[in-house]
Amino acid sequence: MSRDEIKIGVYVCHCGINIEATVDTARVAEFASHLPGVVVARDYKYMCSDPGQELIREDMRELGVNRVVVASCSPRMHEPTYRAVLAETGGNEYCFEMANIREQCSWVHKNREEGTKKAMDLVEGAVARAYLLEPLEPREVDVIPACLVIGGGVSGIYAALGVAEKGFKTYLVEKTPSIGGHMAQLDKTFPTLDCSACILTPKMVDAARHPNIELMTYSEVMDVSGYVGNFNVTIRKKPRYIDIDLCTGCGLCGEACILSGKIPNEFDMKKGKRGAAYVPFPQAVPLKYTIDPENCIFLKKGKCGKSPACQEACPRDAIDFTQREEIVEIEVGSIIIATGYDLFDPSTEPQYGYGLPNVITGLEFERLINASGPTGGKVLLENGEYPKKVVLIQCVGSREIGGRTYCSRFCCMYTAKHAHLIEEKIEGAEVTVLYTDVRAFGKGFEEFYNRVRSEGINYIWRDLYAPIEVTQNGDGLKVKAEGVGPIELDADMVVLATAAVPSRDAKEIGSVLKIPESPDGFFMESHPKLKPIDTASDGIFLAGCCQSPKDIPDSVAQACGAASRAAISLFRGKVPIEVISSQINEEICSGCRMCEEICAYGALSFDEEKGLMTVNEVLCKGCGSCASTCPSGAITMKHYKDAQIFAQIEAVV
Amino acid sequence: MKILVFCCDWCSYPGADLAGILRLEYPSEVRIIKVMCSGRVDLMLVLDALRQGIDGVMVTGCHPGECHYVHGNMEAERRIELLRSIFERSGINPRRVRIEWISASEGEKFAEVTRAFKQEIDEIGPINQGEIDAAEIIHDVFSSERARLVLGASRRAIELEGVDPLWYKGVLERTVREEVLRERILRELRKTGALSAHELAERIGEPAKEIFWNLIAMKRRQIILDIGIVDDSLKFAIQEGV
Repeated sequence: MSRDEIKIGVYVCHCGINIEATVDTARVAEFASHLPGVVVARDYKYMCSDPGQELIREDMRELGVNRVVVASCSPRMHEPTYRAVLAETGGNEYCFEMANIREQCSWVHKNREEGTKKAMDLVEGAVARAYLLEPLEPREVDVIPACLVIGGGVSGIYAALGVAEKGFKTYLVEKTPSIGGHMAQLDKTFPTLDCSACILTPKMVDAARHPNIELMTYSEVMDVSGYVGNFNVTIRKKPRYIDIDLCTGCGLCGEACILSGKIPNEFDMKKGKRGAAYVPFPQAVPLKYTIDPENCIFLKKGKCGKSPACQEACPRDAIDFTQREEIVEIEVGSIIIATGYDLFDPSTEPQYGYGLPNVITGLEFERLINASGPTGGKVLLENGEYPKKVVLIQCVGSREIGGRTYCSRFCCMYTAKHAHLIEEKIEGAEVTVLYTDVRAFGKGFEEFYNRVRSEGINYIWRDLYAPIEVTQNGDGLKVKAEGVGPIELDADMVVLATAAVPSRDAKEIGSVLKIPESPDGFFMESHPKLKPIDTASDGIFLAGCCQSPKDIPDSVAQACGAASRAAISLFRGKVPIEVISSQINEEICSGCRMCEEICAYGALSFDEEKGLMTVNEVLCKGCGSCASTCPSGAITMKHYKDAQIFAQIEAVV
Repeated sequence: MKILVFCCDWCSYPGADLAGILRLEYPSEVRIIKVMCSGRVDLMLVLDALRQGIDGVMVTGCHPGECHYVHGNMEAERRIELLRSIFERSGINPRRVRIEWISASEGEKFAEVTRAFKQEIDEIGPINQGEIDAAEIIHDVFSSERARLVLGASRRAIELEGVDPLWYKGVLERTVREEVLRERILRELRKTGALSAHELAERIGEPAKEIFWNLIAMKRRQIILDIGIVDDSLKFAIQEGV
């Protein structure tokens, strides 16, 4: 395209009043109309709307506009929208530039004169750049028709089933010996009070038996490289010291283990005991035993009695102490993160009295009241008696000023459920809930809350920001707080509704996958409203509590959504890849190979015959580090050429 | 006042967007240029901005270890550090350039660092002609091959071949300083015709001995030639066609 054929259209968006309030868009458009190459400049209420897009189409058809500048929101919001307009109307989608006059201007400056002036500068920069942009051809690569799901809780299970049902190979990786996650630990689920295990375990079995799902339990994702459609994943399979092909889950090894009943079981929130050879819970999937290397005497000392009792007991010789960890490499086209959450550790805030006898967390309560839990479903005090006065405290560690400012979303309802269950199971027990706001927002929640209140549960409002204190009081406990007036309650059991916090391993997974976190530490979605499942990285999706605390229905809904999103590229079989890549001018390249090590992707290699560097455009990710390193200026970056950036800098200030 | 901020596509640009979404005010002098990676920010771009009279340039990228392109941000840091140490000896206030790590979730940090940078530039005042001239010279140095070669080889030397980073940094700084001096010599010769080492030393304000050795090196590369002894001193002039 020669320079005299360049016809730039500039469109300045009001974004309702979002931009218009601080920027005089009409003046900006008038200013833009005089810039070099500009044939038309308009301002419009909502450029992203259908009529707004139509303005661009019309000018392309009628006036021959072949470069478009839209001054509106961030390109991260609507660049794809406008690029599609250009492509549909016979233009080149890369002959497009956005001036971000909302996020970078109207939303951060108050003075209208200053805002207008800056918007003009930003538009001038965008026009200068647009003038020098060159058409690029979109490129596609084949997609590996498989998906990786990280995390085997209810979200991970539903996500994996969702993708597998669509006909694609799915790897479900879970770090613990069994899938099931937190939901497997729960007793009843609100608001319907159906038994958690009864609804979850069939799904766990479905996932394990699905011909398209490969279950990888007791395994961790170590590394991920590649890009949408072509991810290479390195998985570490930890040794179980038991051959899972031989293990039938009969449990003889667990019974025989000389530590049987001595090691606190994490699944039971350490309220129950297990041996070194164990399954976390009886309905574990896969129902295969694991030997815990941190406790097993043989693994620690190389000797356990005359010979390990588990080995003697196993009728199928499944126990294999020579197992080593295994590194497995898989290739997938898309990834779903479903790493869930952890619970806030209340011992870090001593005012809640965690650590005193009979002060427990909500999840510990779940294990106690669960029929397959350590007490067989009996909620008992440490002295073996039933509690008579139970105080349930909400918002422990949530909704703080500074720190965890967010609401953990499911505690209000499980506290109501706990109150109901105590009332139902322990005759004559007096239950008090210390609440601040009851958030009963979900389907059937308000009804459930009203039902529980009508059952004689005493709900007392407490001031969340006033001091609270749980102390020992003789054999019992005392809770002091403030509400409408001072609150003082005797109790023999206190249950803390602790905050949901990002999973301990989330940071590592996040850095392996390069997924940013929101300020609360949970993974950040691509857009808080319109892309709640996508991440900033193409081909990687979020499901469940790793994105924010959620109840089961919301987690399942998001997991099903993630499965659909993750399957799109698998169905299409092709994905577009980065068009922005480096180019080497063979006339100038001296073959100094300086760029070779700068490239993190091995996209640049030395051609021995020619004595020059060559670029593999599929491997090139377009970062441009090579171009800024090249001593002779032989490398240019498509779409980010020196001249294009220079022109923008010059115009923008 | 003019402030230029380079943002990378993955961390700091969305970080700046978040500052907008959260309505966090920051100075309106800030102008953002988006690049794919902070590693794309060639020193020529930074120097070009300064010689245009921009008062401060900030390069922003993903936090160390979080670069979307693995280590582009580390290359950017290496370059900006070098520039600051060169500036210190070239009459440009090194505080005019800085590098900051801003993640996509750090909208608040984006607003904070831009406010702080504006305040810093306020303190040191607008860029003056001397600084602009010096930026022009360093710009020319970084558009020539030698300085770029030594800078470009940093990663290979330090991270792959285990060369002592401090020692290499010394070599790098020395090379660039030398190139800056030679560029200044050339400019003086271009202006005046022929000059001796002592005359050059007076005009440039660097020791005559150092200038002399550089003249010799430049002569060996046939950039300049000596035109013999005039007025009791050996004079040098630019080689024709340079």
